[in-house]
Amino acid sequence: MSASLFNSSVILLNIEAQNADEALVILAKKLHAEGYVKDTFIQAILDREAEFSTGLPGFGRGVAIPHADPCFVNTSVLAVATLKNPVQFRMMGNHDELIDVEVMFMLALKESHSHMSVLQSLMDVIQNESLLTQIKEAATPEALYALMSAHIA
Amino acid sequence: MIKKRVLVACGTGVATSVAVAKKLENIFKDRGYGDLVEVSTCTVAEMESKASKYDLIVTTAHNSKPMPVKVIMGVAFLIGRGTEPVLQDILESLGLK
Repeated sequence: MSASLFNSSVILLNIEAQNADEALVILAKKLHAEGYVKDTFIQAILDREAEFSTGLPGFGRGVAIPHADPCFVNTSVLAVATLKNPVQFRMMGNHDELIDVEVMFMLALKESHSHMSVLQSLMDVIQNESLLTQIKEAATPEALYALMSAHIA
Repeated sequence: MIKKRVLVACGTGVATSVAVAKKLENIFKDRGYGDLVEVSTCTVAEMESKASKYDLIVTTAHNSKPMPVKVIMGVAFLIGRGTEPVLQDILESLGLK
């Protein structure tokens, strides 16, 4: 169920990246290293982001929700990375708009429908300014894991 | 009465389209249109071939291809801001207001 959709092994804090692609690769490689995704997931995430960008203006902070086709996923998980310095993503549905992204929620989903409530909750998270701040300022992956688990049902 | 059919499309068909579809279903229910509208999801790649069976497309993805039915951007439902004008556009396009 939802608890299994998080793992502190795929929660990274204050990653240092020069741009969106670097940030995507860091988190996607971690997902692969932990066995959640196939090695092809990494390129798929980059390709998908280039074609369908995922930056979103969360309340007070920019977020991105990169994801790829279910065929690249072994086990469903929601990975999270906070960025030491924001990187620019293009906005979802509007490639001309740039978003300074501080938190990435990378969705590795095998199929969607069993995770509908998770997706709904994630949308609530990005609309919650104080929660986003807590996520951005989490001191340890375990603390961020606890925050996510408490708010995503 | 025949239900209006809304197709929600996103890049992969598993994430944002599902979230937007769920949100729309809830809004339709809350506003008393629950029995009048049916919401489905698909990928942008499938959108073109499926479009003609629907009354309206709502998408979170950049789309430049011409479609046989109206296409409305649905990103507002993900970020929870600016949803009312988009919803009014959707209801109007479906002939529900």
